[in-house]
Amino acid sequence: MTKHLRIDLDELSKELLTMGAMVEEATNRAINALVRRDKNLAREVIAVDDAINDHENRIEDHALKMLALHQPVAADLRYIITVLKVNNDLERIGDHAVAIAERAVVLAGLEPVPRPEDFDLLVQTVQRMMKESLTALIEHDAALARSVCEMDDEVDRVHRLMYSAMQTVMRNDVALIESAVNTISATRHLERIGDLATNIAEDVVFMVEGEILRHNY
Amino acid sequence: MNRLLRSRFLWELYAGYAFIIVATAIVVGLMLVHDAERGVTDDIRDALQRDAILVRDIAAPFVDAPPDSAFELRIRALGARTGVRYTVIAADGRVLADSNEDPAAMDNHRDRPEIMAAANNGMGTSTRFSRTVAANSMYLAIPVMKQGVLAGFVRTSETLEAISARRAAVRRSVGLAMLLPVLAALVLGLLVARSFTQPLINMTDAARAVAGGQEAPRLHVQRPDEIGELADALNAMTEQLHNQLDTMAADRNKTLAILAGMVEGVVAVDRDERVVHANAAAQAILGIDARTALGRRIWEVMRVVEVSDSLGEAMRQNRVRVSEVRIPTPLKDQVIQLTATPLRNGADQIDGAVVVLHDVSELRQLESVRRDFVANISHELKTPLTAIRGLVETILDDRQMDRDTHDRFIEKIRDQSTRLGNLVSDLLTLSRLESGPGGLRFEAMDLRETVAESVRTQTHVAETKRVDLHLGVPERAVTIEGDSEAMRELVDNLVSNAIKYTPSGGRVDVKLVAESGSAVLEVADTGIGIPPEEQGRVFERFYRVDKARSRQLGGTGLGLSIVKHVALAHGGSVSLKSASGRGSTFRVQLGLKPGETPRREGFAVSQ
Repeated sequence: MTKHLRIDLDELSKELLTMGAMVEEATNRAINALVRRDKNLAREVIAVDDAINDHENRIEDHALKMLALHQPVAADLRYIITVLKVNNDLERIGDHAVAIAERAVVLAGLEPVPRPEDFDLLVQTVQRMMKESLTALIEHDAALARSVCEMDDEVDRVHRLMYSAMQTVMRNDVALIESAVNTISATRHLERIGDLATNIAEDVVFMVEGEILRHNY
Repeated sequence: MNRLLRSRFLWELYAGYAFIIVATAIVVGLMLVHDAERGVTDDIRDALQRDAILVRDIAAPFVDAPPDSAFELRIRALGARTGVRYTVIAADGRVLADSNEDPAAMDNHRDRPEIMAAANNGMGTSTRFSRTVAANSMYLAIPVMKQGVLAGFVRTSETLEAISARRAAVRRSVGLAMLLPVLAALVLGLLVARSFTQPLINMTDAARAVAGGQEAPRLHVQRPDEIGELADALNAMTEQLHNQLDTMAADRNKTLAILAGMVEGVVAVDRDERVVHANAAAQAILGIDARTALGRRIWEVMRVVEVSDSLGEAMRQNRVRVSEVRIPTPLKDQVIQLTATPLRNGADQIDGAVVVLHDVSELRQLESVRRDFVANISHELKTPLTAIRGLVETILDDRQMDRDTHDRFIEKIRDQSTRLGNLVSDLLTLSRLESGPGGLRFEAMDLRETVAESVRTQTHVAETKRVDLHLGVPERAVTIEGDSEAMRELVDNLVSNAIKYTPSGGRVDVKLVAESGSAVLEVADTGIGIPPEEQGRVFERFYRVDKARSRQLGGTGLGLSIVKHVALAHGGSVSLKSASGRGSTFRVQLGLKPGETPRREGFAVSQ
């Protein structure tokens, strides 16, 4: 492998991990804004989305240039393709974080709904999936990536519980319908973040083992 | 010893020496053997010649005579006695007598080499196989002359077995004579070589151990020569190195201890942004583990973009970079100030960077509290002032105002100015308490009096509001060291708050007890209570659970803050138990004056 490719790959890793850190932070902030009913924090998340999108474009540009310039093969090729895919997933997680933040802005101005305990579990699981899928990417750890894929079942289960919990809230108190609908919407975005984290984990397995895991779960 | 035998130096040193010794011994031995062997042959030939000369005299009369059996017998007897073979031969080659053989059965000897040589030169020798004795033999022949005419030959011979035996004996003794000194020299040489090699091996071991960073034993080489000096130098070097290593280790430990003990997080990276060091505080702030993070890229091990950015920029721009980052944590965001400084090596090149993470969350929190306080106080002061100004302006504008309205306005002005006065005096009390214990006069005081006095002055308010006010104090004095005025404020605030927030028909219990070294004042009401999430904040200045209601009730928002500060200034504490709608119980705990602690049974009745 040429030295230039090595340097470029390092640079690409750094950019991707920076992107990962930005998105993870945005997600955590959006969740905090939602839980703390903090409008200002939510607006900060919405404001940072442009930076995330710019970063996505930069990474894609860089990765495509590398493909054209170095014409990498085998593991390097897999790595660059994984970077492109993960990059895309991260950008979409960023979009969902913004969506959660928008719900948080709306919810902060509404009567609070009683928060089911399962909500904290959902938040924790999604945050853990985000964190561990990125860790698996950095460490090239296929085992950790597979465990992230398995966590998605838990997210789906809790998500369904949230639906029925919110239905009960609405049935009991008509005044809370708007809050409950927004809460469901935020939960739905959280669930989607879990799915995208699973995608990243699958991409990591592909990168490490060359095996395509998608749609097997 | 094994190491010694495998030592190249030993064998290089010893091989030449051993070769010279062995080669010399072999050469000298061979020369000696050669000389000795020649001597043996010469001796035998001389003996044979002597014998031949003697036999010639005996044989002279018979050589030209016909065969004589007596002569024959005589020769045979002679041979038997000396062990030498004698042969007497006529000039024409016929054998006349022989000590070992019947002459009649023998060939003509004229063509024998020794005979031919003797006929020509006067003497002849030959060494060859003898069929007669079936062995290698040496022959010597001399002519027998009569009046200058060749009359016959006398030949003597001896088998070479005798010669070989003597030669072997000579070789053996020469060999033995050489072997002993050679062995001695070889052993001695080995010892000498060893005495050079062994210290060198020891020194090599020691040097290798030092190079490997291990503890090296002191070398004991007592030699006056260069090897001894080398050992001494090596010892000195080892010791010096050890001292330096110890100093370095101590320095390093000190530095690590300082770094570990720092509240600020410190992360150092090298030129490639790989983590070189991360102290405990940094690990906690960034959520990393130094054991796995060391040697890896900083942006791989943690997800705070600003940290790696500031390190990278500090290196690229070669300047100190200060920035601030908010790290979201579930409860509240941590505000971290980052100071990234490039590190330069000896050649003044940038060799890495270090970032100091300073947790300024509390500082920022205090700043916001101060900002809030200034905003609050301005608001609190402005509200009554606006009201007063409005009332005064109305009175000034409306000259025809009727007496009743006029009086009502004046009363309102009085109420607002009283409120303003309360606010200012509360603020003064707070600032006095905050300026430290210097503003307080501590003296022994009976807390019972303060509590009773406070309850007495507020009985009227309670009665007006139809709130049941109860007081319970022990029989014995509850003596504390305190500022009576501040204590009075504390009790007043608690009691008036309790009455204020308790609706008509409610009940307020003021209870003072002394237990295990502390005085405990409990003020319990059956009022509106405080929701759990607000309980932590009610002691903050200007914090009101319900702003509208509090102001309506004439509160300044400073009462509980004063309670807390008075308790703290007296080394005590305040706690709160409350539930929404079920009243609140404030509990103030203060230390009793030492020596005044009542025995337990002394106040049991009062409870």
